[in-house]
Amino acid sequence: MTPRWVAVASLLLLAGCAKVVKPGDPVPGLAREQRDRFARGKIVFDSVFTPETGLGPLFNSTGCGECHEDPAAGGRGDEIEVHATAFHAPACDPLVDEGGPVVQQHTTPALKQALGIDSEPFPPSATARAHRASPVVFGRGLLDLVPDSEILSYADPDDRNGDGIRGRPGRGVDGRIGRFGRKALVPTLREFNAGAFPAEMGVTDPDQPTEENIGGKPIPPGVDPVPEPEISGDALALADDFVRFLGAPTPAKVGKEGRRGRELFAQIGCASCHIPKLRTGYSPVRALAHREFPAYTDLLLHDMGPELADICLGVATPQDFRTEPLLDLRDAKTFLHDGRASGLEQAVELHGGEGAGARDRFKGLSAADRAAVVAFLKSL
Amino acid sequence: MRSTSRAVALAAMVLLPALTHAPADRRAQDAAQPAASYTYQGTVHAFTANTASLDLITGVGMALRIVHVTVAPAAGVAGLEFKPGDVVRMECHRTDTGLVADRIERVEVPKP
Repeated sequence: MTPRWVAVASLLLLAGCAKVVKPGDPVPGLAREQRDRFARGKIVFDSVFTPETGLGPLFNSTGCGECHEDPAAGGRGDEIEVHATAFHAPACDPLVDEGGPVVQQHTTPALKQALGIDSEPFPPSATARAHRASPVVFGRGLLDLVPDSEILSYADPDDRNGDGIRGRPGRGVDGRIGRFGRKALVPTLREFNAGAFPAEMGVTDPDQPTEENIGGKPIPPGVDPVPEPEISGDALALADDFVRFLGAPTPAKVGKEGRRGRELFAQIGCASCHIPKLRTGYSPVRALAHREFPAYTDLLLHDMGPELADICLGVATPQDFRTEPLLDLRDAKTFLHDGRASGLEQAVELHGGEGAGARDRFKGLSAADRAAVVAFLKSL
Repeated sequence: MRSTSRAVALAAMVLLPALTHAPADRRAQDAAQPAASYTYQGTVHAFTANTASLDLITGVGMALRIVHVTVAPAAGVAGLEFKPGDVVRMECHRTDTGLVADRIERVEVPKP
């Protein structure tokens, strides 16, 4: 065997041995201590809170795992939550003083007894209501590490290349580039996770030790007796590490039809926003640093047209949505930010605004080619 | 009995100085040290020039909160207007009546 053949054989062997990441698996290559934190963090993620352990008084769920469970911890859920804001162009009011932007759908027995409400009152000044399906949180630790410079390299707010796609970064309330949330409001994964405990479960933590008001009014005395913060910094850090270490599922191997679909996905322009691979920057966690991973997002905001428009948030207008990472589509039963699409073909056809060109090209494909694109998407 | 008496004596020795001197010491410390400074960066929710009051949206992730501050005359914002959506950075100190901003500056958010 010549040296060239030895090299080729070695490469093939390495490719064959590359670790396949299944939904819910940690990123490959974690150190033992990190795998231990992943396992301990999963316990926090899967734990169920009660009023005695800090739940509420307003909440959407009793634990992270209640909404992120399918097909594994960190997956999606069938819960739909309600968000509300007021858009007074160009500014967006998240209606914090009326209980927004997350309008919790449940109350503890003590709050119900005090105020007679089953959910947070809908903000009276809202100009729009949004429904939000629970997304997978796989691969979020990798998305967290995509450098700002890479995100900005995809931005084209003035459409200088004339392709009809104008991406621009979302911004947090303090002006940093946003990555997380359907409106790209949240700059870092740590903030997203630390904000999810109080926003989704009413469980305060050291990063956000203040309970939310009840539709703009103070919490009645005695309703929330657990002292703040309601979970420790250690528990928060473990849950954060669990989510951070969740890998991006490896796309399944595709046959001839799927390969044709992957080519068409790029040819008709889907990949202009759903960038197939992103690369992380530096991280002290070697398994996360400088990794190329399947992302299928540019993490930018795009105008998706009036049909999908709902709330504003941060710098995102009602029509703006951050490109959804296409991760674990194989297990999805509903699609789009609010779960309105029951199939992938319908989800593509509901794209408007900057996605209209790709949508129309998709609709112009033969039935076999459309099926090929769907077959490819189902491999993700 | 002897061990109980010893425990009481020990507890008294440990606790008495704390009980008798701590408040005075703390007052002395408060007087000697400058007030703690807090820095906030967020989005302006409302600004009322005539009362020099500003509501700032801050928060963590989706758990947003409003911080209400009074802008000190020395903050150098006389004649400036802040409109909803502006991003500002403030240095504040806490008083009995709430947060007071000693310094406030607009943060230019870069356009892509």
